[in-house]
Order: sequence, then C-alpha cells, then structure tokens
Amino acid sequence: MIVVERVETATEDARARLRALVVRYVLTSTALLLVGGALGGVLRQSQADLVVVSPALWYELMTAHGLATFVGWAAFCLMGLSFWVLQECGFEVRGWGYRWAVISWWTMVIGVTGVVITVLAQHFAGSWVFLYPLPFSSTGQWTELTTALFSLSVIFVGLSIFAYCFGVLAVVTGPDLGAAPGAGFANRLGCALGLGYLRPRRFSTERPLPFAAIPLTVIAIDMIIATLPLAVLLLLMIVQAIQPSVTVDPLLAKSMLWWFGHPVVYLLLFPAVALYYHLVPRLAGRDLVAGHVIAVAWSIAVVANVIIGAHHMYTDFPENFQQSVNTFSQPLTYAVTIPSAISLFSLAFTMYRSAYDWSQPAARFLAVALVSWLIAGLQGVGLATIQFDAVAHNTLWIVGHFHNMALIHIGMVIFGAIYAFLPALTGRDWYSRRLADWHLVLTVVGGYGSVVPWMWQGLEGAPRRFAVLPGEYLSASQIAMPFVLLIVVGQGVFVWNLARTLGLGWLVAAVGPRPAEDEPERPGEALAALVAACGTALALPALWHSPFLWAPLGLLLGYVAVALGARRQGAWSMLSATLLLVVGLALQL
Amino acid sequence: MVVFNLIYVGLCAIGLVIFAVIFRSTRASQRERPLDIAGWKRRENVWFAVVCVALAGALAATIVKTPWNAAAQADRQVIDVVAAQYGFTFSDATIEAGRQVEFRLTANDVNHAFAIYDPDGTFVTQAQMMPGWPSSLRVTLDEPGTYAVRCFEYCGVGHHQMVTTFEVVP
Repeated sequence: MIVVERVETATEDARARLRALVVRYVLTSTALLLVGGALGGVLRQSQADLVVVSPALWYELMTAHGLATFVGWAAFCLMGLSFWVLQECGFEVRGWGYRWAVISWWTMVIGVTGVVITVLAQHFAGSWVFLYPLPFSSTGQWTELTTALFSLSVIFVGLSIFAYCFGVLAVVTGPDLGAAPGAGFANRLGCALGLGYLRPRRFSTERPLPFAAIPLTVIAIDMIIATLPLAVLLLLMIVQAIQPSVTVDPLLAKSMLWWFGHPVVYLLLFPAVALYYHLVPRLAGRDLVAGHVIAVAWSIAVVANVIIGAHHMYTDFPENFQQSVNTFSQPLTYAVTIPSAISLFSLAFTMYRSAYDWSQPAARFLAVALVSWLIAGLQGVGLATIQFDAVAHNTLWIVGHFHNMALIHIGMVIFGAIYAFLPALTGRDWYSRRLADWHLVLTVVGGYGSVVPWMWQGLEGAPRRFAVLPGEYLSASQIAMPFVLLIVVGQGVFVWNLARTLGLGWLVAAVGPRPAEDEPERPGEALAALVAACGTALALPALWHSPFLWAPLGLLLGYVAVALGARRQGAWSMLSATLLLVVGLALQL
Repeated sequence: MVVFNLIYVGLCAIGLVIFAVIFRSTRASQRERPLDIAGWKRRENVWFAVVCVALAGALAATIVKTPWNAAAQADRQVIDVVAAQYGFTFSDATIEAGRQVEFRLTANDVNHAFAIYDPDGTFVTQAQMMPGWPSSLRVTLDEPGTYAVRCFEYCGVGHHQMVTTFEVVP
C-alpha cells in the first residue's frame, strides 16, 4: 500500500511539474505575441503613412516581428500545449519526455533573446528568412559579427525544435502507447503514426491510439529531418563570418532554407490539428468521427511534408534541375492538403448533430477556427498552383494568406486551447467568459479587416517587404488601420482576462481583488474605461493630421468601451472624437 | 487570375453554407435522431476520393503552363538585365511591342527579383534573380508605353527603392 501511495505521489508531482511548465510556455509565448504584435502594428501604421519610421528601422522590426510572432508565439505556445494534449490523452509526460520539454523551453528563450538583441541592438535586418547571401551584404547596416550572433541565436531556436521533437517522440513511443511487449522503436513509431488503424496485427496497441497523437508524431519526425540542413547552413554562416573565404552556393542555401521553411509552417498546423482532435470531440460529447482513411492521409503527410519546400521557389527557374523540382512540387503540395481536407471532414461531422457545448469559450474559438481553416486552406491550394503563384508570389496577397492562416486560424486554436486548458493547469476558472467573447469578436473582425486589404493590394500587384509602399496602395493600408487597432484591443482584453484569472499580485494591487464567486460578473469595467480614454487620446491627432483616420479610430474605441460596459466614458470618447473630427477638418480648410 | 478568384470565392461560399448547417445542427431540436456515425466514417472514404480527384483535375488543368516553359521564338529580342543592390542595369531599355522579349536575368550580389508592371500599373510577370544562377524570362508585351520594374525579393534596407522603367515602342 505504501509503495502504491509513493507511486501516486510521484505521478502527481510529475503532473504538477508539467502543469507549471505548460503555463510557463503559455505565458512566455503570450508575452512574445504582445511584443511581436506591437512591432507588426508599428510596421503597418508606417506603411499607412501615419507615424513613419525610417526604412532601416522598418526592416529591423520586420525581421523581429516575423520571428517573434511565428516562432516565438505560435510555434512556441503550440509546442507547450502539445505536451499537455499528450498528457490528457493518457501519455504521461515524464522522464526524458519532460526533460526534453524543459530543454526546449530554455533553448527557445535563449534563441529568441539572441534574435531580439541582434535585431534591435545590432540592427540585423536580413528578414526572418535571412536569404543567403544577404546576411553578408548588409550595405553597412550590420556587421558580420552580428550575422554570426544572429545565426547562433537561430541555431538555439532550432535546438528548441529538436528538443520538442525528441520529447514528443519519447512520450508517444513510451510505455503509455501500449505497444506489444518487446516491440522495437520502429514498430512503436509506426503505432504512434496510426498505422495500427491500417494494419492492426503488425502495429497492435493495448488501446486505440488517440488521434491527437498522430499529427504530433508526424511533425516530430518531419521537423528533425527538416531542421538538420538549416542547422548546417547556419553553422556555415557562422564559419563564413569568421573566415570569409568559406561561402555557400546561393541556390543550395535557398533550397536548404525552404527545406526547413515549409515544414516549419506545419510546426504550427499539425499541433493545432492535434488540439482540434482532442478538444472538438470533448466539446461535442462524442469520439472523433474518423475512419481508417485518416491514417492514410497522415502517412501521405509524413512523407510529402518534408519534400515540398521548393514550392517557395516557383519563381526561381535557372535552366537546370530546378525547373523539374518546381514542377513536381505542385502535385506534392497538393498531396499535403489531403490531411487538412480529411480532418475538416472528421471534425465537421464530429460536431454534426452533437450536443456541442457552445457555452465554453473554447467551443466558439474552435468553431471560428474551423471556418478560417477552410478559407485559408483554399488559399493555400491556390498558392500551391504554379500559375497562380506566378502572380501572387512576394505580393501582399501572401502576407494576407499567412496572417489568415497563422492568426485567424491557428491563433484561434491556440486561444481556444488556452481557454480550455487553463482551469486544469492552474486550478482557477476564467475571470470572465464575456471578455473571452470580446477577445474572439475583436480578433476575428480585426483579423479579417486587416487581412482582406492585404489580399486586395496583393491582387493589385503590391509588393511585400516594402518599407514604403508605392502611393497607389496607400488608401487600402489606411483602411486596414482601424481593424489593426481592433486586434490590439482584442489582445489587450485577453491579457487582462488572463492576468485577472491568474490573480497576479501587482495587478490585484492596482485594480482591486477578484470579485467573490457569488458576485454578478462585471468584467473589465476598468479596462473599458481605459479603452475609452485611449479612444479620446487616439482621436487627438485629428487636429493636425488625417482627421478621417484618427477620429474614426477614436470613435471605434469609444464604441468598444460602451460595449464593454463603460457606457458614460465610451459615450464621451465618441463625442470628443466627433468634435475633434469637425475641428480638425475646419483647421485643414 | 479572375478564374482563380471566382473558383476560390465559390468554394468558400459553399464551405460557409456547409458549416452554417453543421453549426445549426447542434441545436437540441435537431439531435432527436441519433447520428449514423459508422455511416459518416464510411463516407469519409468517399470524401477522400473526391478530394484526390479534384486535386488531380486542378493539376491537369494548370500544370501545362509555367513561367519557365514559354518556347523561345526565333525573332525574339534578347535583353540582359543585371541586378545589384539597389538597381537594375539593362543592355537595352527599349523593347518592340508585340515581339517576344527574353530577359536574361542575373544578380551580382544577393537575391533580387524582376517584376514587370504595364503602363496602367497592372502586374505582368516576375522571376527571381539569383547570384551565380542566370535565368531567362520570355514574355510578349503588346501595349506600348513605359513599363515599371520593381525588385520583388527582399535585398536589404534599400529594397523598396529598387525601381526602374523601360520603354515598349510600337
């Protein structure tokens, strides 16, 4: 009996450690979202000709924004949430699984810190894809030492991805898989890939494999294969910084970059699919409606995912092997969309005529995310088509597409999972579900209002990565700004709700204690008043610059404040914005 | 491009309707009959086949035309274009309208890209310019006038200034 109690205590300690680690992943990645998102807002408003930053600074911020949001927020958060999904699926994250998860967290933090220092302090502006040999041809903007430090920092990010992959593989092939006694690693890996659904005798397990484990196993295998060549390229770049005679062929370097660059997109998508597979059935109250064909789809993905990077090179066609590689990339890229199509079917019919629990914030976030997956996924099929890519490549259409996919699809899954998991991770219920609804509405409306102008500009031929866009695209950039502001306010609402839920000491001291359980919910009144004040402040520049831009922004925030509960302050904010518009116009005339 | 956009919007509209039906089906009144889950699992196989056929159809319809397979015409004009941070150098900046032109593209320092806009500002075509790897872009420009060229691959802090023009004459 004592032995059993000790084992249970040890298991509970391990779970508590994991819970703390996952919360650390969530909080660190959310902080990076705020930093990276703020940088994105600065980039967008500068293109809209509001407060213009210098081109050199703009390209620095562009480099930091891409890495902070894509890797530092989305990938990092999903990596942490992956371990919790596995835990809830019956795979205890312990031993080396847990150790790799800790190593992954630390190496990511070190890597992102290095990136921030080299970009913001040492002015590296090679973009987050650092297309070789640009890091060695900075026209005086940064030094080769900076390139070496930046490369080293990205190597740490790569180490974090390796550690994550090893951790996932250690967990899914561990004892909780329930593979046959004496099964070798290859057999256990096959079981974790879902091959047991196709060949149950060869890949037998004691219990049906949870579907959520399949995409996580796929991405863990793929990212090891995909990250190795990039790590080699980064090491060579460090060597070149020390010994300039060592160089890399630009075509080879580009191929190595995109060999990693496409699978890393799925470092976001596949863990997000695992979250869907885990949470949608739970909310619908039934198992995932998935036949054996889902294992076929993931078997296609594990192969196709690592050999389709060349679709980023459709507009590179030196007369040699590359043209054939490009041509074959179209069907291969089409193939990797099959798991998405099958998953959408499974998830949709898991919800169909179910008792889907719409009262949960996670349920609403995931429902919106599913629709966004369809919208952004179809864009991806278009982009995989060489004929379409030839006109869309490197236009703002691409920027619209990946913000649609990363923010309004995968971001919604991340937020949904945080709303679903945080009570179990912290033992605290959410401070306010109403604020969660506002978070959803503001992010989705702001997100699409921000993405659609990009896509429109892209179809008109607007180039991406231009600090100063040609004048004909200015109006669409300005139209997007109120929606960008909605995204900002939405994330503010989320952070407020998160902070109040966690009961952070400094926050409680500033705004008062959390209300008692039996008090009626009055979420975010202080936040609403703050929003109203921001609205008035934002409308002030209408007196001397672009009154039709600043005043509507003030009006919008005033309206949001009213909706959040601060009716009087919001109304004053809207009134003052209207007056400032009138006075601003009069002064201009 | 118009066809692509229409197909995209049409598919999105169909998908939105399907999701609306699925979301509405979660109301209590629609859950009285139990769902035939085994039946929907079988239908997933049909869906798999539909997706594969649709993708194969899209591939067959589009793969024949790529930016690199335009056949070289015997009377084509050949223009050498060299890119370097932050400008383009043309061997000849005057092109004859209606006659195929082959741009032979090279880069001296980093990756650049060659994107052409017609006199109305409409995007025409693009190709990457990679150091050490020349490539050829063949296109026929019918409308006389001043065409703009922009660099379409990020090449450093002067990237947005890498703009030039060439003339197409009747």
